[in-house]
Amino acid sequence: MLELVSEAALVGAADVFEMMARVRPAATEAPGPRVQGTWVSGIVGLGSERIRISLVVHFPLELARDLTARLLGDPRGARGENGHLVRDAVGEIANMIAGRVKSRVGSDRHPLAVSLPAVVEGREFAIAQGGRAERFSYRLQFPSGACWLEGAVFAPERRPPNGP
Amino acid sequence: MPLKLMTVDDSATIRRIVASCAAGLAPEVEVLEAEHGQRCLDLVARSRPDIIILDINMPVMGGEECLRRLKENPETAAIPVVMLTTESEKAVVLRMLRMGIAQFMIKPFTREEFGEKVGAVLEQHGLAELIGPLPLLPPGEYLLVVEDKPKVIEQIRAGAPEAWGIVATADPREALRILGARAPIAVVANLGLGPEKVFEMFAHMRRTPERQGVRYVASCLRTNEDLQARARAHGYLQLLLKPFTPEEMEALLRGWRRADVRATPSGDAYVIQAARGRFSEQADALLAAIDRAAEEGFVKILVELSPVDQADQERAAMWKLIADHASALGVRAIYVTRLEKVRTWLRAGAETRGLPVVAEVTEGLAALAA
Repeated sequence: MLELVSEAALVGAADVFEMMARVRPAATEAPGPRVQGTWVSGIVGLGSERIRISLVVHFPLELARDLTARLLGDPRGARGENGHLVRDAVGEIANMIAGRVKSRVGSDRHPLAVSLPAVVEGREFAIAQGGRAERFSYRLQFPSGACWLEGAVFAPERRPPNGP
Repeated sequence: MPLKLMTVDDSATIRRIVASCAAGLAPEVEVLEAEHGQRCLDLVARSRPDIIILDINMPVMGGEECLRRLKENPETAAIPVVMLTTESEKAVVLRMLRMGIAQFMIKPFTREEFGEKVGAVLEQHGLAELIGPLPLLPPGEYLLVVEDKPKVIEQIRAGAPEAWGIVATADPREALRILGARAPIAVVANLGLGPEKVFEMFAHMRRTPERQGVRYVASCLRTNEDLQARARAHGYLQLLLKPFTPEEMEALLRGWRRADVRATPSGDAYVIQAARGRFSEQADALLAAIDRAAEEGFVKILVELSPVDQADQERAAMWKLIADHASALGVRAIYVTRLEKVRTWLRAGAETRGLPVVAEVTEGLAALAA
């Protein structure tokens, strides 16, 4: 399942950036980022009775600004984008990647529900995807910097055989 | 009269992208923005839009409820609604179609896809005058030439069979509209118009149902090897290098006839075999076969390429193209090639995105069944 989710997330991310921002990142498996300076992260959860998935995309603020400007079709306008729009764009990127994961991993019998995206911005923060999970992490390199795509796939909670 | 378009999405980014796409769609555009369904209904009551681009998942009031209320109200029921959402489940799409949407678009999307789909909806609803008329298409088969140099257009005309018509435009967006009206034999586009614009136009054309059997040819200067490499890396293997002679143009056409791609169902899998021709000549026929497999409901395909030792660069682009195309359609692909060195090369590289590579069709069918 981890392989399916990570591939769907990676292909989804590549499509989001290529189709909407017209830039294709080079992806490599890599441990998560060491957050220094100001970063913006978009977080989305997906879940069904069979599986729970969390996806996080981490951007250094400058890269988030650059990609926001590209999304809006104005690569030279990066400096002018206000903080609200950059946070909104990061949330929407996470949301679109989650949409791709949903379509690849969910099924008619077991559809996945997707949360509204949450966005965190700040200096030297960490996002803990707690619990027993299988995890993946990719570094996506753009001409103007790198972002990280992380995911955790949680096994369903097991009820005791005679439990309620 | 301006096109009045309403974008309804809780993301300000998407609303701005839609506004920017709409600006490229018609000479004059007025964009109305709403951040959720209730705001959409309030605005529609005051200022009736020509078309609504509606998200599904939004706070306060979602797109489904908003759509239901729009369609229940006789004053707003006729406004065409295009759903623009990350939801791609068949059940959701069918439910929305039953509720009367005019079109369904899945995020992420390209500007060209937006232009073509929204443009087609406007035409279907008698609003074509807002976006301008289509050029008159010639009867019979034709080549669509996306080119700004009259001399090159004339050279292409001279090299093509007399019976073929030529429709030329210098605007990739216009080319998408023309392709939507009737599929040409091939699209020949000048990368000099802006490589990214042309690659995106080709990519969108390859994803549209009207593209079945259409070939895509990128034209660029013979001396610009960097651009040629980029075209191949994007999966556009058929290049028309300028300046070209009528004989070179004819050789290109011969290649299309030489390519032999067969597609046959085998159990619950679809076997696609390319027997003759270079990869560049097979590419579009292969993609069309994958499309057909997906349309017929096959989720497993087997792709066998002819055991011809071709240039690594061309081969890499070909495999990547197939892997991306199958992945986008949600089709599971297994590759068959009898050449051991090609299998080794494929397994070591990233072009097949980790999908299996086997030596024989029978081996591939067994793997798909497992």
